Amino acid sequence: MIQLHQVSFAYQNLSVLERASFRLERGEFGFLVGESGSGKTTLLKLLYRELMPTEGSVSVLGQSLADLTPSTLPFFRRKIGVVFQDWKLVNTKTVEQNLAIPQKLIGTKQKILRENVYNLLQQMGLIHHKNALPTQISSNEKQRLAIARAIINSPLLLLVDQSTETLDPTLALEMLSLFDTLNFQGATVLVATADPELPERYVRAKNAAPKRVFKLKDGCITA
Amino acid sequence: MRYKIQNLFTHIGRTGLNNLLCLIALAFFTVLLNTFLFIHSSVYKELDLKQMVPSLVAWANDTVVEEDARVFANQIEKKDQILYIDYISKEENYNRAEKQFGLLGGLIKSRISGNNPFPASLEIYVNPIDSSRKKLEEIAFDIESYDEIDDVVLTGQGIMMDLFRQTNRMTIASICITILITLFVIRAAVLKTARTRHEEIQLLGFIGATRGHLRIPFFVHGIFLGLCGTILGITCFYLLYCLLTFQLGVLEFLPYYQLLGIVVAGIIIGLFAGIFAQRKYFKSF
Repeated sequence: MIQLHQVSFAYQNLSVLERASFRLERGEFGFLVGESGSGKTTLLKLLYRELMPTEGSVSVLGQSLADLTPSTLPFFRRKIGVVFQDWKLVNTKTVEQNLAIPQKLIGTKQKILRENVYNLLQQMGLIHHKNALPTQISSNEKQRLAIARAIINSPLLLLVDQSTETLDPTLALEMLSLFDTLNFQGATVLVATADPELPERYVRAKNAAPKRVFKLKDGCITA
Repeated sequence: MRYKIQNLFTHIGRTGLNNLLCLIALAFFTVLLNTFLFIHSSVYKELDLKQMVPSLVAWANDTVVEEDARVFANQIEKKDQILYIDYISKEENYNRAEKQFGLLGGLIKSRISGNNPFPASLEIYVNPIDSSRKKLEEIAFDIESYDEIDDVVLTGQGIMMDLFRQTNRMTIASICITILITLFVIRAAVLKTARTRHEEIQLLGFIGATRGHLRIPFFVHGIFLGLCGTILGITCFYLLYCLLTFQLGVLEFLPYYQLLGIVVAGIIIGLFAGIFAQRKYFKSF
């Protein structure tokens, strides 16, 4: 499902990843744990091909990312849901419109789209803010909106970039529980976090099955 | 498809004031271009009329008989610049004057009965390539030096030809300048809108928008501005034209094919401006 083989990446002279390798099988739930600045976001960017590795190979959903062309890349990205670290919400669109973007992009019929958006807004506790702009809601709600937008198309792979950190602890566990449900439905989930206790805390609190944890330190990944 | 159209209108609507200013600028330059085309077209029509009359009229001396005048006409017809010469007899000039002056002509004829005061003349048609005012003056001066000729009159064809050449140059220059300015203005407006929408465009790219999805709004935005700008410009020019005809009398408006050409050119320039804008945008981000 996700396979990194001897991947290196550097921003000009600053090396972030050095011959990092890891493998996450289809349907697995993994945590990528590392300190701030350890390269978690860079690694996720490599997975949805915002960045290309300077060395090594990346394979996601059975597809070698080096083989993707500008015309096949969009269709690859449609299979992935990403919760960005900075949320990337469109501040000129309402909460409802923000949530509808991925559905509109894949051509979902208006009636089904409205239903999906409504259900997800309700599930995420954002229904009363559906006509508000992202600038008018709290950080907590923005984060939930970003998560909702990432999962609305039922992606095969969900990449979450430190998005549970700023949520209050109870809500963070609720969100992880939601990712767990998606994982149960067949999606592969990779959550990047700077909190090393989070995986254990989640498993303990929700009595969930143990998750795979990858540690990212000094550009190398250890399972 | 529905989202593509929505995305398109979002793209155009995002910087409303910017687009409005762009449309005003485009309309202004379209009015300027139309003015040049209008002047050019009016001068051309006038020149067309002038080309039916001779470039020069040489009045023969009263002492020159018809046979000598015709020999003289044949002689100067051999000059390179001259296309052909019509000999107009004294009688014909007399009759022409009567026609020209109408009732007054009859009165004049009765006063001078039996004595034709009009001389014979040579109507000289000059090759249009050589018919600048300066050239015609030189030819006139040359012909006037012959003893057989009393006076040579320029009919104004040279001035019209000079004016036509000048307007031609100015129109071509104005077309080139308008194209460049239109291209620049539309490109700047599309680019500004795209930069305003940067976050959204970036997000769309990350969540799987195709190249077409991301780029088509740029092209359509360019076409929209080109189309609306030229139509607005033509409308403003038409209002000015109505005002002018009200003040100066009947003036023919620009032919429909020229107007259509301006709109089509606006669309094409808009499309190219959109292409340039998207290139610049995706290169810088």
